[in-house]
Amino acid sequence: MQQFFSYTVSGMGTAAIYAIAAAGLVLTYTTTGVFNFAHGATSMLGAFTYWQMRFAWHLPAPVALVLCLGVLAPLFGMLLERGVMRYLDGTSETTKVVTTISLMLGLLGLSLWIWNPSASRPFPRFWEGEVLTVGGVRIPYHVVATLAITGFVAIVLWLMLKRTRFGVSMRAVVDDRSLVALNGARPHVISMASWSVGTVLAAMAGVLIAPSLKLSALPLTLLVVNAYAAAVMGKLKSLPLTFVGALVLGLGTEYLRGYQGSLRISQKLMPGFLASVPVVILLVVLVVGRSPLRGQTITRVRETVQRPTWAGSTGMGAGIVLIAALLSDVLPRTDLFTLGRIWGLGIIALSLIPVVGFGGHLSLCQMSFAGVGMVMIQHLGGRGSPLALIAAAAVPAVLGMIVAIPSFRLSGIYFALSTAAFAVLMDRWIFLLPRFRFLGMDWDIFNGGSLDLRRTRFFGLSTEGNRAFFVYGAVAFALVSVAVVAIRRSNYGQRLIALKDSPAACATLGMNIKVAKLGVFAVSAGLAGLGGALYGQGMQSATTESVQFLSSLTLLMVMVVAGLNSPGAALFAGVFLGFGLNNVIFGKLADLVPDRLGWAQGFFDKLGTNTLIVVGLAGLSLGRHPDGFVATRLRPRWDQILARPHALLGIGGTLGVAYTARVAGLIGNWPFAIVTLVVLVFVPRVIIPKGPGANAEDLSGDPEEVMIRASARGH
Amino acid sequence: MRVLEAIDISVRFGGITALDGASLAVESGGITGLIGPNGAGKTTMFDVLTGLTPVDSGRVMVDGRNVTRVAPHRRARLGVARTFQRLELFGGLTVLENVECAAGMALGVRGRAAAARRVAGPLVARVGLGPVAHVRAGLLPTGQARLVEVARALATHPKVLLLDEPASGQSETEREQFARLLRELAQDGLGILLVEHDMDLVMSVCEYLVVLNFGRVIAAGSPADVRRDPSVMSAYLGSRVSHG
Repeated sequence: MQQFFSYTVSGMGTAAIYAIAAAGLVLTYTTTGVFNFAHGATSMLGAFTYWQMRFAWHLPAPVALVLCLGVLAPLFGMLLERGVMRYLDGTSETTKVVTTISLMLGLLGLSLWIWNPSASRPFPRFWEGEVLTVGGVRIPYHVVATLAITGFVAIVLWLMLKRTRFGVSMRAVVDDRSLVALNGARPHVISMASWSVGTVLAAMAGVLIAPSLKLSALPLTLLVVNAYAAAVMGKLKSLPLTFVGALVLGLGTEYLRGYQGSLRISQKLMPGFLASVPVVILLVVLVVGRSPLRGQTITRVRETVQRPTWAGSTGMGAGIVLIAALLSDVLPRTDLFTLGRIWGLGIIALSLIPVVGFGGHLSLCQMSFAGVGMVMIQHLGGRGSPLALIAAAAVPAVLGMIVAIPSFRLSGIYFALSTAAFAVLMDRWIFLLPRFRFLGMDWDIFNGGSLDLRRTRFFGLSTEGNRAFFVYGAVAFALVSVAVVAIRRSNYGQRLIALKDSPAACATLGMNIKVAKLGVFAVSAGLAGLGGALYGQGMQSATTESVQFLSSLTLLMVMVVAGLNSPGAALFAGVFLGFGLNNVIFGKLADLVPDRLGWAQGFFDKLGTNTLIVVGLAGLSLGRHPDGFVATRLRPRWDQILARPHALLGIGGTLGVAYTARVAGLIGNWPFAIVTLVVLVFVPRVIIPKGPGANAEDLSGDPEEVMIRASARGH
Repeated sequence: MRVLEAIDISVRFGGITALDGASLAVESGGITGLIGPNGAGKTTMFDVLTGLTPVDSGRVMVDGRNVTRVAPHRRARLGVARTFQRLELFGGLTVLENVECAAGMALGVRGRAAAARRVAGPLVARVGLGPVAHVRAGLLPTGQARLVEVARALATHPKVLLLDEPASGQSETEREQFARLLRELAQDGLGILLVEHDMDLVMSVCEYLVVLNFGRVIAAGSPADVRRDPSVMSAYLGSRVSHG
């Protein structure tokens, strides 16, 4: 019995922290309509800031708490509202979700920048070692304080929302912003207040939970995934239900941890499962919850899904293969090894196009499918068998259909959350499972945490060498990108886009919506698995870290920033993340800076090693180019260049001369790369100075469309 | 022949009764008008007939077959097509692609792009959207957008077509052309159920009228009969006056 009480007490301690975090999430969602994926990153930043003031600068705890939670957190919340969230007003749910994801990545990058992740930072509990003994149960003061604070937060929130005029207008803002403004309230002030309260709650949860999680950026950031479950139990709107949800979550995890010995389940399966309990509860609540949860349908008004031409896409594919073949001749072997991974990553990026770009289903678990693809190569591709590639696509495809099932009744943010829960479940449990026996066979899914991947042999043709693999990867990428274009041009691709725009119309026109959703997830997960196989083979050895939830988010972000509908954007994502383009560009900039500007060198060096912050910052500007820069900036210019033979000839000629000079040893790799970049990216800018995207009003150069838009405005 | 029939349909949303024992029928080759003041339950009736809203009681029959529990996409394949009052276009696709896509859906899994294209081109021309075939549907003004919905519905080779306020947002000439199109379609044997607030259009094309108010059928008959019905006058004119 005493044991039960002690589990209950520590469970309630965890529950209290989840409750504070989830309350902040629910508060900002109900008042601003933005589901803040960066909530956990805010907690993390709060914990680090407190640590800095309390333990690095040795401020007294009360001063540090007041500075951190009373001054900096609210200021940061206001800054967020003023600088980022205000511009999300009236945009679609996708843009909102993606913007907060980029904020999360940016904050994570920021903390890695400021606080070296390899240093150890002891973070003792409040009143470490002091306990209150009640009936033989020892309750740490830290837990007592946590419970008291949570009670206080609950009362303050309740009073604020129900008893003040401000709270009433806060609740009204979410229903209709302009109406609230007409009635004399100021919606911006209200959102600003809500963001600062939300940020304070996030930071508070971070400071309270940091001692039990160690002060480490990533686990603290993902803490919020646990709070999602509590928030979803409150249907993202009811604070009391959210508190109940947090209690269920905290107690459930703690009892399971305490009594796992008496369960008749193999002990090997348990550790990862315990860590996944919150996401399992999240999945269960999402999938079997009483009423279907419908977010807004995911459509971006400013989005255009242009129909790519066969000539353009096959031309691009052939060009990629040709350039890869030429490059494989001039690049050193070590670079070719590093570059080998861009094709796999590029194919995983391509796999996002059908499901997110055409279908509008926000999938946050693409790297998990890729991980399953790698696992298949590990277990079936021992002698380089091509059959393993088929399994690497087929098994994730089946998994993809399972992941798609919640989409029958969930949409928008709720479905995105279910894919996030799946990704975290794979990260925390499945990929970490130790060797175990099941159905009379030995299973060792992720090979003890590190895969050792053989490259494929095709009928005697080996891709083992770095040169051969580089060219083979380019061919595979080109084929998959042509396949994606074929999907877009087919009747099936039209149906996917149609389903995104209007599910009701699709149903009444005779489309089986469930089959369509299963299909697009099977295709996309299959492609991701195939991409994962190539990605892993490129690296030759892979860890669970390369396929985790965070990598899915980073890849999605790069894809969204570059343009979700274009294969060119996928190539960019592959090169950017696979080759560390970031590192190369900023590293070179750091080299170019004169030595006496040491701070600038340091700045560029840091930017170069911190991909997260670059991706995060780029994502925050999403509101301006919802179609991505490849689709709005690069492609339209290239379409016009292709129509001018002399320009094409000039560009090809210059490239040919540069390549000859490189092969003849007249210039090195860097001048060659710079010439190529200038010719491919900047010359089109000079030849066609005003790209079609130059005028914000005019979505495309087609004069007819412009005329129709004008007449539409007139009506 | 009755191609579509609703028998004694009741639908409640929470405490509100949207349809209360309402019945109607659509004949092949005939145009039936469904009229009534705002909130009478016309769009709910469309949602029930196409399967988007489940019924609390009553039956829906297509070609004499009970389809009350049949999913929307299966009803579409049995020949029921509709347009939406609150436009439900595929805004990311061009006008032609909207219609191709619908034709492909009707062809089922075997829907081939070429076959769908053969159906779509002539249909787009028939409803008068030829000049804007390659414009993104999301950019069209309301009147033309409604025609896209009509073409899209026709692309599924329906036996019965349900039109929810197809003429609102259209100009005078567009309405005349549209009335001509409706008569042609009926002559080809299509059954049409028309919800429309433009009484001139309703009176000129419909052979039969059903009047809904507060979820109940308060009158049914030829346009001339309905026009003289005192309960219709009070329901309709009352509502008109109150809406200014």
